[in-house]
Amino acid sequence: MKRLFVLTTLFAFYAGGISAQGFLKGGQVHGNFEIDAQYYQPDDKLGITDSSLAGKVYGMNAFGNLIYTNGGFSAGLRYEAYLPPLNGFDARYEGQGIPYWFAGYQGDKFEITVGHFYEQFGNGLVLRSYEEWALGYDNNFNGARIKYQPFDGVYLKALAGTQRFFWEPYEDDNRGIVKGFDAEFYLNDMIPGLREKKTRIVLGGSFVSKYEKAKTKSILVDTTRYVYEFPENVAAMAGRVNLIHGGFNLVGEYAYKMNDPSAMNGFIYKPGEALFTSLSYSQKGFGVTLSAKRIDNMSFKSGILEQSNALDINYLPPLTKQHLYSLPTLYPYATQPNGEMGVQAQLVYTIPRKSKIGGKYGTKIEVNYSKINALEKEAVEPGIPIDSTGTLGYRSNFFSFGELEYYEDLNIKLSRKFNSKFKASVSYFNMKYNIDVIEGHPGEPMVYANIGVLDMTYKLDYTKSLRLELQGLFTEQDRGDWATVLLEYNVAPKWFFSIMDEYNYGNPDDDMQLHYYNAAVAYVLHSTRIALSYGRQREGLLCVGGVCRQVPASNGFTLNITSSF
Amino acid sequence: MKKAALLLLATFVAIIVFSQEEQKHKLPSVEIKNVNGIPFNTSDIDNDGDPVIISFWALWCKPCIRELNTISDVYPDWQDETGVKLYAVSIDDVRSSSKVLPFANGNDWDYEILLDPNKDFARAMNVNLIPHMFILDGEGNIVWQHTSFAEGGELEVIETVRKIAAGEELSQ
Amino acid sequence: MIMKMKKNILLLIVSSFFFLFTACDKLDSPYLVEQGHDIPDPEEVVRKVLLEEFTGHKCPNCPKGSKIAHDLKAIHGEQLVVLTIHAGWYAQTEPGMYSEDFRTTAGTAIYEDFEQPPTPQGLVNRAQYAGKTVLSINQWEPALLEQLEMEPEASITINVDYNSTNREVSVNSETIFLNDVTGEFSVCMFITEDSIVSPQVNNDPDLGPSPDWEDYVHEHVLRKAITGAWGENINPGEDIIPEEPYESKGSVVLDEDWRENHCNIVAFVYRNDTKQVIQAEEVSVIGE
Repeated sequence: MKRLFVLTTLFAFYAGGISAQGFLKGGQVHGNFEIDAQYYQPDDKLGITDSSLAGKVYGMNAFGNLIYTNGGFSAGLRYEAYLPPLNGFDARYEGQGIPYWFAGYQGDKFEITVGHFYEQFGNGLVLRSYEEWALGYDNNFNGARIKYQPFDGVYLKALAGTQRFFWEPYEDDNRGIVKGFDAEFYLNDMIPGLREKKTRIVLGGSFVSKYEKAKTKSILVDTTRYVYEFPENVAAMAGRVNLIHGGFNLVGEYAYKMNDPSAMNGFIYKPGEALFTSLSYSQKGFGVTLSAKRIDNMSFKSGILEQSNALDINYLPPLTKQHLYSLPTLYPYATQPNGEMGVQAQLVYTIPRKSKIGGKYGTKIEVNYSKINALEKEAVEPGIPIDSTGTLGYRSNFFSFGELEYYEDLNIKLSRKFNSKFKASVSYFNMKYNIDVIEGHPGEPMVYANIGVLDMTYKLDYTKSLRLELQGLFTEQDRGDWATVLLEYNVAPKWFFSIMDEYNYGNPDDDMQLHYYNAAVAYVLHSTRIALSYGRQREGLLCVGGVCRQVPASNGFTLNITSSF
Repeated sequence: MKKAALLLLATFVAIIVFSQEEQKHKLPSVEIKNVNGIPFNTSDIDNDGDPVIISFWALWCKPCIRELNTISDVYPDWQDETGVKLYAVSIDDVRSSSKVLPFANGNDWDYEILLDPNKDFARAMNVNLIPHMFILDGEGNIVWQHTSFAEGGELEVIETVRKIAAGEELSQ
Repeated sequence: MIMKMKKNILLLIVSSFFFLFTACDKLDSPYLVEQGHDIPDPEEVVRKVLLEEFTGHKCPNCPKGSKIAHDLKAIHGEQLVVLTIHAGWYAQTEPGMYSEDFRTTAGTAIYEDFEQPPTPQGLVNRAQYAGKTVLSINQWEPALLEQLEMEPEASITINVDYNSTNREVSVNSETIFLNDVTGEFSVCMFITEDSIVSPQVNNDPDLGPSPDWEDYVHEHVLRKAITGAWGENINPGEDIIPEEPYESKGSVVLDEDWRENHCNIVAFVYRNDTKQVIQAEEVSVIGE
């Protein structure tokens, strides 16, 4: 009812705002929408039967956004509907309503927002709210935010709010309240003497506090009952630096979180820590980035008992490359918030045009290496096992890597345009994937996979092109070997056709040596896109950023419509 | 539930009908960062009266990179002919935002690169899917937009830019 | 001048946010505080709460849930009735170690009615806690405490007659409402079995062997519904009369591999409209 009220008010306000042109001259309304619908059908081989579908033959996720702006004033809302949610999306999304609406004013040196908003402090280690439609992830804040620039080069932000939890309105007991403050200083703009200096220095700091009513939790040790003491206020803070000099760019952020026992960390009381650093150098034709990070007990949620992908206050970026081809995405990495050590190196180089090796158009080389290990943990006291609930949990040396490997990935991509009609790229991936830890399959052995991809594009004429992808994944573990063929025929800028077959020919289970075929057509007119596809979808983990969604196997039709105006 | 849906539909219709009267579609003012991490207000996107292309992309988006690579090959010619300037707005989050500049440089791109790591600008521009491209006329009005990319798609882009540079009205 | 004032006011607002943060609770060891058990006088009618635990023998996190259920049962004694329902993906069987099928028609029906949640999760009196009915394992205790604080609304007495010759169990339950209530109610009667030793996947080495816990002890396992998954409506179209006994009857023949000395009868009464349980009861099949 409340939502309906908001909707009506905003509607009246929009309609009024637009028709009363004389009064609110210069107002603009823009928006977009998307509808994703699926029709599921039984598929014996995938184990999908009429009874397992349980009457759920359709799924639909849809949203519509409207934003009204007039000078410094803006207001907007997003309507969402999950009727019912597509397979693989959290069932708690079922229903529809307005989970996001705001009104705001932006002045010369300040900005005020009330209602819902997205925000990120620094690199997000202590606070980030964002949404990923494809993953069904949204942790927006509902409250108020002020941004203010008191002097040149000084940016302040303060906010207070509660986070989105599916369709559940905030109540006293069901989640915490988050308050945050962030300051960023651009020294070169603040200090006249530094204004002309080549080196630029940026400093920043954040402070975030969560208040949540204490919950009761007991545990029996032998036959004695103990009750956990929970902090009602949990604070986290972070400091960061960014140094820029010529082609060099150094980014670093350190975050610290007070004792925060939670369902996520098994109710241990150790403070959390995170360090995220990255050094890059680049010039025309060449770029390299080296990164390192440590995550130690840094899950930070505005719900002490919450274990699902919801109510995250902070964001812990994974230090691995997000792969673009389908088979390498079979083994995606997700940050382990309870602890990990990681390093990454990435290099991009263009062998110049018209050189001997570079060819007429130049040749591009991309190399990426990532390695993520567990933390090294020691017992807090002799006799208390590591990670014991209701204790500090463990001790850990800040700079040492644990022996347990989570993920390793070396990949190389070469791409070259041979002539005005033909270009191709070839990629190789070597991966090590701890499926036990990352996907929670206890006892399953480490997956070692070699993957090769050949991607060729041939232009038939100015607007018509063919693209062929050949992929192979070779592994002795998990589901064995895969081969993929994808053929696209595109008529730019409007028509897209594709057929694909992913064949799991090496599956150790003979009955699961399946073809996952798919055919798709899409039509694009300016900013409207309509796509229809038919086929099988393999079971897998879909990850964007630090969040993953388990996609179950399915078979059927998919329709996507998206448009902006 | 039906009521809400109907109301929304009515809102959409009303908006679309009423907004026909609006001619100018200006860029929203959003505080994002330039490729070095220095604050940049999107209302400062400007090209001294010449057309501007804004392309939303990310390192994880294959067609986006193909689009920017394809345009990169002809970009010097486009600039000579129409004076156009391309802003490539990366919506990569902090997982890879520090790799954007090395990637763009490594690929020898001559674009203005901007970082929108929490999608504030993308949200204000109603970007759903990337690649999503906007073309602005010399006065900063958004006059054309397009989503998706296939080889040859750049031809429609330069056609549009030429028309704008020549002062022609667009039919979109 | 006005500009300057504006600036100062804003600065004041922004910095006052900062001072809101003085609160942050730094705790010192020991973090666990010893507490007694609170088991009430057996003479008076007390509220007894039903915990339905969704689990599966191939569910790696489920031993964590069962440990919590076990602890809660030990703390709250007869005020908590646990019903373990094996259902969903992780409860499927496979040749070899996990060939035993603990799934039941009634259990699956309940699981599906609550939208097939990921396991382990559970229902505490099928009541809402923090806006949800299906609760994660750490929400069981606060939800249980909330339910236990409410006044008892009904009492259930279960009479069991076990015939060891044909292994038939006849059950007769009497539900007495203590106050005036409106709406329709149903009584469910289930048979459960304790102490079943059978393998369980486990990812918590602190609790037991991991990944396969071969001699895992399964407790409170739902075996069969005596009067269907949703029981019997006891007052169709009528108002409940307080202090009046409402009877519910049924019988079931024990499977040969169910051990009668480990079998229990669980009965509970729930509101038909909200499915919320108001009272539960449990007795052993062969008597104490």
